[in-house]
Amino acid sequence: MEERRQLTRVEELTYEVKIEQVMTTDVLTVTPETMMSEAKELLRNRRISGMPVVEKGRLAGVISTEDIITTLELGKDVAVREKIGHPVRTCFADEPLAQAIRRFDMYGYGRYPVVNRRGRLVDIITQGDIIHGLLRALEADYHEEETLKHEASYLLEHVDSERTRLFLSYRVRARDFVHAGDAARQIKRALVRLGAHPQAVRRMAIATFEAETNIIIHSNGGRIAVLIQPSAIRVRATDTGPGIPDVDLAMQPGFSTAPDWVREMGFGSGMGLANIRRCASTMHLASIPGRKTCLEYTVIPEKSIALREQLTRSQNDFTRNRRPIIANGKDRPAQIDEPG
Amino acid sequence: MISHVMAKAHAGDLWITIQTHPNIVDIAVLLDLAGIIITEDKQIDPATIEKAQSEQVPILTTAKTTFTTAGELFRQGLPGVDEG
Repeated sequence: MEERRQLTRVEELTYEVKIEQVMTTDVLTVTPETMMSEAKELLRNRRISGMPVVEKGRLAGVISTEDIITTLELGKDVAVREKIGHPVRTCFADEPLAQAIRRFDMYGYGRYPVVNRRGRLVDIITQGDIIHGLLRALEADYHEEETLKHEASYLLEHVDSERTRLFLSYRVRARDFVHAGDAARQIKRALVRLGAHPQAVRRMAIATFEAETNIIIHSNGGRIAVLIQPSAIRVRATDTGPGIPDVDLAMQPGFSTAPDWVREMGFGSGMGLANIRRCASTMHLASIPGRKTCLEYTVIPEKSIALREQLTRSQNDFTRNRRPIIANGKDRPAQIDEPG
Repeated sequence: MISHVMAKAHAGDLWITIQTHPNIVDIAVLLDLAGIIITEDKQIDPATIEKAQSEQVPILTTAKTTFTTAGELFRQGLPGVDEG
Protein backbone atom coordinates (compact mmCIF):
# COMPACT_ATOMS: atom_id res chain seq x y z
CA MET A 1 0.00 0.00 0.00
CA GLU A 2 1.23 3.45 -0.83
CA GLU A 3 2.11 5.51 2.16
CA ARG A 4 0.10 8.67 2.43
CA ARG A 5 2.32 11.72 2.48
CA GLN A 6 1.79 14.33 5.13
CA LEU A 7 0.37 17.54 3.69
CA THR A 8 2.22 20.59 4.97
CA ARG A 9 0.53 23.84 5.92
CA VAL A 10 2.27 25.56 3.01
CA GLU A 11 0.84 23.05 0.56
CA GLU A 12 -2.57 23.54 2.11
CA LEU A 13 -2.21 27.30 1.68
CA THR A 14 -1.44 26.92 -2.02
CA TYR A 15 -5.01 25.66 -2.36
CA GLU A 16 -6.54 28.31 -0.10
CA VAL A 17 -4.81 31.35 -1.57
CA LYS A 18 -5.93 32.50 -5.01
CA ILE A 19 -3.67 33.85 -7.73
CA GLU A 20 -5.42 37.24 -7.68
CA GLN A 21 -4.42 37.62 -4.00
CA VAL A 22 -0.69 37.47 -4.68
CA MET A 23 -0.18 38.87 -8.20
CA THR A 24 1.63 42.14 -8.82
CA THR A 25 -0.72 44.96 -9.52
CA ASP A 26 0.12 47.75 -11.94
CA VAL A 27 1.50 45.50 -14.63
CA LEU A 28 3.56 47.02 -17.43
CA THR A 29 2.48 46.01 -20.95
CA VAL A 30 3.55 46.65 -24.54
CA THR A 31 1.68 46.39 -27.83
CA PRO A 32 2.72 44.24 -30.80
CA GLU A 33 3.77 47.49 -32.50
CA THR A 34 6.31 48.39 -29.80
CA MET A 35 9.88 48.13 -31.06
CA MET A 36 12.17 45.62 -29.32
CA SER A 37 14.70 48.37 -28.50
CA GLU A 38 11.95 50.24 -26.66
CA ALA A 39 10.87 47.05 -24.84
CA LYS A 40 14.49 46.51 -23.80
CA GLU A 41 14.60 49.99 -22.18
CA LEU A 42 11.31 49.34 -20.34
CA LEU A 43 12.59 46.05 -18.93
CA ARG A 44 15.87 47.62 -17.92
CA ASN A 45 14.32 50.68 -16.27
CA ARG A 46 11.80 48.62 -14.34
CA ARG A 47 14.34 45.88 -13.58
CA ILE A 48 11.91 43.19 -14.71
CA SER A 49 12.45 40.18 -16.92
CA GLY A 50 9.28 40.07 -19.01
CA MET A 51 6.08 41.82 -20.05
CA PRO A 52 2.72 40.79 -21.51
CA VAL A 53 1.94 42.01 -25.00
CA VAL A 54 -1.59 43.35 -25.32
CA GLU A 55 -3.51 44.08 -28.50
CA LYS A 56 -6.89 45.84 -28.17
CA GLY A 57 -7.28 44.66 -24.58
CA ARG A 58 -6.58 41.04 -25.43
CA LEU A 59 -3.42 39.21 -24.52
CA ALA A 60 -1.29 38.60 -27.60
CA GLY A 61 1.84 37.13 -26.02
CA VAL A 62 4.68 37.59 -23.61
CA ILE A 63 8.06 39.13 -24.25
CA SER A 64 11.11 38.34 -22.11
CA THR A 65 14.77 39.30 -21.81
CA GLU A 66 15.56 36.11 -23.70
CA ASP A 67 13.64 37.46 -26.71
CA ILE A 68 15.54 40.75 -26.44
CA ILE A 69 18.89 38.92 -26.52
CA THR A 70 17.99 36.91 -29.63
CA THR A 71 16.87 40.15 -31.30
CA LEU A 72 20.15 41.87 -30.44
CA GLU A 73 22.02 38.89 -31.91
CA LEU A 74 20.22 39.54 -35.22
CA GLY A 75 21.70 43.02 -35.24
CA LYS A 76 18.48 44.82 -36.27
CA ASP A 77 15.55 46.25 -34.38
CA VAL A 78 12.15 44.62 -35.02
CA ALA A 79 8.61 45.05 -33.71
CA VAL A 80 7.52 42.95 -30.72
CA ARG A 81 4.99 41.21 -33.05
CA GLU A 82 7.84 39.39 -34.78
CA LYS A 83 8.88 37.70 -31.52
CA ILE A 84 5.63 36.37 -30.12
CA GLY A 85 4.92 33.47 -32.39
CA HIS A 86 4.36 30.82 -29.72
CA PRO A 87 0.97 30.39 -28.01
CA VAL A 88 0.71 32.01 -24.58
CA ARG A 89 0.09 29.94 -21.48
CA THR A 90 -1.97 31.80 -18.90
CA CYS A 91 -3.47 31.43 -15.44
CA PHE A 92 -6.95 32.47 -14.36
CA ALA A 93 -7.09 35.04 -11.57
CA ASP A 94 -9.55 32.98 -9.52
CA GLU A 95 -7.52 29.78 -9.64
CA PRO A 96 -5.65 28.59 -6.53
CA LEU A 97 -1.92 29.23 -6.30
CA ALA A 98 -1.31 25.49 -6.67
CA GLN A 99 -2.40 25.83 -10.31
CA ALA A 100 0.24 28.47 -11.04
CA ILE A 101 2.92 26.45 -9.21
CA ARG A 102 2.08 23.42 -11.36
CA ARG A 103 2.52 25.55 -14.51
CA PHE A 104 5.90 26.83 -13.35
CA ASP A 105 6.97 23.24 -12.70
CA MET A 106 5.73 21.99 -16.08
CA TYR A 107 6.82 24.71 -18.50
CA GLY A 108 9.52 26.56 -16.66
CA TYR A 109 8.63 30.07 -17.80
CA GLY A 110 9.59 32.86 -15.42
CA ARG A 111 6.13 34.47 -15.41
CA TYR A 112 2.57 33.85 -16.47
CA PRO A 113 0.01 36.40 -17.60
CA VAL A 114 -3.09 36.24 -15.43
CA VAL A 115 -6.42 36.64 -17.24
CA ASN A 116 -9.97 36.81 -16.05
CA ARG A 117 -12.61 34.37 -17.26
CA ARG A 118 -13.43 36.70 -20.18
CA GLY A 119 -9.87 36.39 -21.44
CA ARG A 120 -8.78 39.92 -20.54
CA LEU A 121 -5.35 40.44 -19.06
CA VAL A 122 -5.54 41.45 -15.42
CA ASP A 123 -2.00 40.89 -14.30
CA ILE A 124 1.14 38.84 -14.30
CA ILE A 125 2.40 36.32 -11.75
CA THR A 126 6.01 35.41 -10.98
CA GLN A 127 7.55 32.83 -8.64
CA GLY A 128 8.54 35.71 -6.38
CA ASP A 129 4.86 36.72 -6.10
CA ILE A 130 4.01 33.18 -5.02
CA ILE A 131 6.70 33.09 -2.34
CA HIS A 132 5.72 36.52 -1.00
CA GLY A 133 2.04 35.58 -1.05
CA LEU A 134 2.63 32.36 0.87
CA LEU A 135 4.78 34.11 3.44
CA ARG A 136 2.06 36.72 3.98
CA ALA A 137 -0.55 33.96 4.38
CA LEU A 138 1.64 32.11 6.88
CA GLU A 139 2.18 35.30 8.82
CA ALA A 140 -1.57 35.92 8.94
CA ASP A 141 -2.05 32.34 10.18
CA TYR A 142 0.52 32.79 12.89
CA HIS A 143 -0.93 36.12 13.95
CA GLU A 144 -4.39 34.59 14.27
CA GLU A 145 -3.02 31.80 16.44
CA GLU A 146 -1.20 34.29 18.68
CA THR A 147 -4.34 36.40 19.06
CA LEU A 148 -6.38 33.35 20.04
CA LYS A 149 -3.80 32.37 22.65
CA HIS A 150 -4.15 35.69 24.42
CA GLU A 151 -7.92 35.88 24.41
CA ALA A 152 -9.71 35.29 27.71
CA SER A 153 -11.36 32.10 26.49
CA TYR A 154 -12.20 30.73 23.11
CA LEU A 155 -13.67 27.44 24.20
CA LEU A 156 -15.21 25.75 21.16
CA GLU A 157 -15.54 29.15 19.54
CA HIS A 158 -13.71 28.08 16.42
CA VAL A 159 -16.77 25.95 15.69
CA ASP A 160 -19.48 27.84 13.81
CA SER A 161 -22.91 26.75 14.90
CA GLU A 162 -25.99 28.27 16.48
CA ARG A 163 -25.68 25.98 19.46
CA THR A 164 -22.43 24.12 20.10
CA ARG A 165 -22.34 21.43 22.76
CA LEU A 166 -19.92 18.63 23.34
CA PHE A 167 -20.80 15.79 25.69
CA LEU A 168 -18.15 13.66 27.38
CA SER A 169 -18.89 10.72 29.64
CA TYR A 170 -16.65 8.59 31.86
CA ARG A 171 -17.40 5.52 33.93
CA VAL A 172 -15.83 5.51 37.40
CA ARG A 173 -15.45 2.21 39.22
CA ALA A 174 -15.62 1.78 42.99
CA ARG A 175 -12.27 1.32 44.80
CA ASP A 176 -10.37 1.51 41.48
CA PHE A 177 -7.49 3.68 42.69
CA VAL A 178 -5.29 2.55 39.81
CA HIS A 179 -7.45 4.59 37.45
CA ALA A 180 -8.19 7.43 39.84
CA GLY A 181 -7.64 10.68 37.99
CA ASP A 182 -8.04 9.21 34.51
CA ALA A 183 -11.33 10.97 33.84
CA ALA A 184 -10.02 14.28 35.22
CA ARG A 185 -6.89 14.00 33.12
CA GLN A 186 -8.78 13.18 29.93
CA ILE A 187 -11.22 16.01 30.50
CA LYS A 188 -8.35 18.40 31.12
CA ARG A 189 -6.69 17.38 27.87
CA ALA A 190 -9.92 17.75 25.93
CA LEU A 191 -10.47 21.24 27.33
CA VAL A 192 -6.94 22.34 26.44
CA ARG A 193 -7.44 21.12 22.88
CA LEU A 194 -10.84 22.80 22.65
CA GLY A 195 -9.27 26.12 23.58
CA ALA A 196 -10.46 26.65 27.15
CA HIS A 197 -8.67 29.32 29.18
CA PRO A 198 -5.90 27.87 31.43
CA GLN A 199 -7.77 29.10 34.52
CA ALA A 200 -10.94 27.26 33.52
CA VAL A 201 -8.93 24.13 32.68
CA ARG A 202 -7.23 24.23 36.07
CA ARG A 203 -10.46 24.71 38.00
CA MET A 204 -12.10 21.86 36.09
CA ALA A 205 -9.09 19.57 36.60
CA ILE A 206 -9.05 20.02 40.38
CA ALA A 207 -12.83 19.83 40.87
CA THR A 208 -13.17 16.78 38.64
CA PHE A 209 -10.30 14.93 40.30
CA GLU A 210 -12.02 15.40 43.66
CA ALA A 211 -15.40 14.33 42.31
CA GLU A 212 -13.82 11.30 40.69
CA THR A 213 -11.97 10.16 43.81
CA ASN A 214 -15.13 10.67 45.90
CA ILE A 215 -16.94 8.16 43.68
CA ILE A 216 -14.01 5.73 43.91
CA ILE A 217 -13.71 5.99 47.70
CA HIS A 218 -17.31 6.13 48.83
CA SER A 219 -19.71 4.71 46.24
CA ASN A 220 -20.48 1.50 44.41
CA GLY A 221 -19.48 3.16 41.14
CA GLY A 222 -20.77 5.98 39.04
CA ARG A 223 -20.32 8.22 36.08
CA ILE A 224 -18.91 11.64 35.30
CA ALA A 225 -20.65 13.48 32.51
CA VAL A 226 -19.37 16.75 31.11
CA LEU A 227 -21.28 19.13 28.91
CA ILE A 228 -19.01 21.63 27.22
CA GLN A 229 -20.42 24.79 25.70
CA PRO A 230 -18.60 27.99 24.75
CA SER A 231 -20.26 29.77 27.69
CA ALA A 232 -19.85 27.11 30.40
CA ILE A 233 -18.58 23.68 31.32
CA ARG A 234 -21.12 21.68 33.34
CA VAL A 235 -20.32 18.47 35.16
CA ARG A 236 -22.64 15.93 36.69
CA ALA A 237 -21.02 13.26 38.85
CA THR A 238 -23.54 10.60 39.81
CA ASP A 239 -23.14 7.39 41.75
CA THR A 240 -25.09 4.66 43.45
CA GLY A 241 -24.13 3.69 46.96
CA PRO A 242 -24.54 4.75 50.56
CA GLY A 243 -25.28 8.40 49.71
CA ILE A 244 -24.60 11.27 52.09
CA PRO A 245 -26.86 11.42 55.20
CA ASP A 246 -25.94 15.03 56.02
CA VAL A 247 -24.91 17.06 53.01
CA ASP A 248 -24.15 20.23 55.00
CA LEU A 249 -21.86 18.33 57.35
CA ALA A 250 -20.09 16.66 54.39
CA MET A 251 -19.44 20.09 52.91
CA GLN A 252 -17.47 21.19 55.98
CA PRO A 253 -13.74 21.27 55.33
CA GLY A 254 -11.97 18.43 57.11
CA PHE A 255 -15.05 16.32 57.67
CA SER A 256 -14.31 12.83 56.36
CA THR A 257 -15.82 9.37 56.52
CA ALA A 258 -12.99 7.74 54.57
CA PRO A 259 -11.61 4.51 56.07
CA ASP A 260 -8.03 4.40 57.33
CA TRP A 261 -6.63 2.43 54.40
CA VAL A 262 -7.87 5.15 52.04
CA ARG A 263 -6.30 7.85 54.21
CA GLU A 264 -3.03 5.97 54.18
CA MET A 265 -3.01 6.38 50.40
CA GLY A 266 -3.27 10.12 50.83
CA PHE A 267 -6.98 10.39 50.05
CA GLY A 268 -9.92 11.10 52.29
CA SER A 269 -8.71 14.27 53.99
CA GLY A 270 -12.18 15.75 53.98
CA MET A 271 -11.04 18.59 51.73
CA GLY A 272 -12.49 17.24 48.48
CA LEU A 273 -15.88 18.94 48.48
CA ALA A 274 -14.30 22.14 49.79
CA ASN A 275 -11.87 22.06 46.88
CA ILE A 276 -14.72 21.59 44.42
CA ARG A 277 -16.62 24.51 45.93
CA ARG A 278 -13.53 26.68 45.68
CA CYS A 279 -12.94 25.83 42.00
CA ALA A 280 -16.51 25.73 40.70
CA SER A 281 -18.59 28.72 39.67
CA THR A 282 -21.75 27.01 40.92
CA MET A 283 -22.15 23.76 42.82
CA HIS A 284 -25.05 21.57 43.91
CA LEU A 285 -24.83 18.43 45.97
CA ALA A 286 -27.84 16.23 46.60
CA SER A 287 -28.18 12.73 47.93
CA ILE A 288 -30.73 10.08 48.74
CA PRO A 289 -29.10 8.21 51.66
CA GLY A 290 -28.73 4.50 51.01
CA ARG A 291 -29.31 4.97 47.29
CA LYS A 292 -27.41 7.61 45.36
CA THR A 293 -25.59 10.91 45.20
CA CYS A 294 -25.57 13.57 42.53
CA LEU A 295 -23.01 16.33 42.43
CA GLU A 296 -23.30 19.08 39.85
CA TYR A 297 -20.91 21.90 39.30
CA THR A 298 -20.17 24.43 36.64
CA VAL A 299 -17.02 26.15 35.57
CA ILE A 300 -17.72 29.32 33.67
CA PRO A 301 -14.89 30.84 31.66
CA GLU A 302 -13.95 34.27 33.01
CA LYS A 303 -15.67 36.27 30.30
CA SER A 304 -18.99 34.46 30.70
CA ILE A 305 -19.60 35.32 34.37
CA ALA A 306 -22.81 37.13 33.44
CA LEU A 307 -24.37 33.77 32.61
CA ARG A 308 -23.95 32.40 36.12
CA GLU A 309 -27.20 33.55 37.62
CA GLN A 310 -29.15 32.14 34.74
CA LEU A 311 -27.42 28.78 35.17
CA THR A 312 -28.01 28.70 38.89
CA ARG A 313 -31.76 29.04 38.25
CA SER A 314 -31.85 26.29 35.65
CA GLN A 315 -30.35 23.48 37.69
CA ASN A 316 -31.94 20.11 37.08
CA ASP A 317 -34.85 18.49 38.90
CA PHE A 318 -32.66 16.22 40.94
CA THR A 319 -31.23 19.09 42.92
CA ARG A 320 -34.16 21.46 42.65
CA ASN A 321 -34.96 21.52 46.37
CA ARG A 322 -31.42 22.30 47.37
CA ARG A 323 -30.02 25.69 48.11
CA PRO A 324 -27.38 26.51 45.51
CA ILE A 325 -23.89 26.76 46.86
CA ILE A 326 -22.03 29.58 45.19
CA ALA A 327 -18.28 29.55 45.33
CA ASN A 328 -17.06 31.91 48.06
CA GLY A 329 -20.57 33.35 48.21
CA LYS A 330 -19.33 36.15 45.95
CA ASP A 331 -20.06 37.15 42.41
CA ARG A 332 -16.82 35.90 40.97
CA PRO A 333 -15.57 32.32 40.94
CA ALA A 334 -12.54 31.69 43.11
CA GLN A 335 -9.33 32.58 41.36
CA ILE A 336 -6.75 29.83 41.40
CA ASP A 337 -3.36 31.44 41.57
CA GLU A 338 -0.81 30.85 38.91
CA PRO A 339 2.79 31.67 39.74
CA GLY A 340 3.75 35.13 38.58
CA MET B 1 -2.76 14.56 51.72
CA ILE B 2 -3.68 14.69 48.06
CA SER B 3 -6.52 17.20 48.36
CA HIS B 4 -4.17 19.60 50.13
CA VAL B 5 -1.77 19.37 47.23
CA MET B 6 -4.69 19.98 44.87
CA ALA B 7 -5.61 23.06 46.86
CA LYS B 8 -2.16 24.54 47.36
CA ALA B 9 0.13 23.65 44.46
CA HIS B 10 0.68 25.98 41.52
CA ALA B 11 1.64 25.10 37.97
CA GLY B 12 5.40 24.64 37.73
CA ASP B 13 5.82 23.68 41.41
CA LEU B 14 7.96 20.79 42.60
CA TRP B 15 6.19 18.34 44.90
CA ILE B 16 8.13 16.64 47.68
CA THR B 17 6.32 13.59 49.01
CA ILE B 18 6.69 10.17 50.59
CA GLN B 19 3.72 8.87 48.57
CA THR B 20 4.57 6.51 45.72
CA HIS B 21 1.30 5.21 44.29
CA PRO B 22 0.44 5.95 40.63
CA ASN B 23 -2.06 8.67 41.55
CA ILE B 24 0.75 11.08 42.35
CA VAL B 25 1.45 11.22 38.60
CA ASP B 26 -2.19 12.14 37.95
CA ILE B 27 -1.88 15.01 40.39
CA ALA B 28 1.29 16.22 38.70
CA VAL B 29 -0.39 16.12 35.28
CA LEU B 30 -3.57 17.82 36.48
CA LEU B 31 -1.72 20.63 38.20
CA ASP B 32 1.07 20.94 35.61
CA LEU B 33 3.69 20.37 38.29
CA ALA B 34 7.34 20.56 37.25
CA GLY B 35 8.05 17.21 38.90
CA ILE B 36 7.94 15.05 42.01
CA ILE B 37 10.67 14.32 44.57
CA ILE B 38 10.18 11.06 46.47
CA THR B 39 12.06 10.99 49.77
CA GLU B 40 13.65 8.39 52.05
CA ASP B 41 14.62 6.18 49.08
CA LYS B 42 11.15 4.75 49.18
CA GLN B 43 10.50 1.86 46.79
CA ILE B 44 8.43 3.25 43.91
CA ASP B 45 5.56 1.25 42.53
CA PRO B 46 6.53 0.12 38.96
CA ALA B 47 3.09 1.29 37.80
CA THR B 48 3.97 4.78 39.04
CA ILE B 49 7.21 4.83 37.04
CA GLU B 50 5.44 3.54 33.94
CA LYS B 51 2.75 6.20 34.22
CA ALA B 52 5.32 8.92 34.85
CA GLN B 53 7.16 7.88 31.70
CA SER B 54 4.07 7.91 29.52
CA GLU B 55 2.88 11.22 30.99
CA GLN B 56 6.36 12.77 30.88
CA VAL B 57 6.44 13.63 34.58
CA PRO B 58 9.97 13.73 36.06
CA ILE B 59 10.36 11.81 39.32
CA LEU B 60 13.48 12.38 41.43
CA THR B 61 14.40 10.32 44.50
CA THR B 62 16.52 11.04 47.54
CA ALA B 63 17.61 9.16 50.66
CA LYS B 64 16.90 12.24 52.79
CA THR B 65 13.69 12.83 54.67
CA THR B 66 11.00 15.16 53.33
CA PHE B 67 11.88 17.73 56.02
CA THR B 68 15.59 17.77 55.12
CA THR B 69 14.91 17.83 51.37
CA ALA B 70 12.57 20.78 51.72
CA GLY B 71 15.08 22.48 54.02
CA GLU B 72 17.91 22.11 51.55
CA LEU B 73 15.88 23.41 48.63
CA PHE B 74 14.74 26.32 50.78
CA ARG B 75 18.32 27.12 51.70
CA GLN B 76 19.23 27.13 48.01
CA GLY B 77 16.69 29.89 47.55
CA LEU B 78 13.62 27.95 46.40
CA PRO B 79 10.53 29.33 48.16
CA GLY B 80 7.60 27.18 49.28
CA VAL B 81 3.96 27.65 48.25
CA ASP B 82 3.39 29.78 51.38
CA GLU B 83 5.89 32.35 50.16
CA GLY B 84 3.68 32.94 47.08
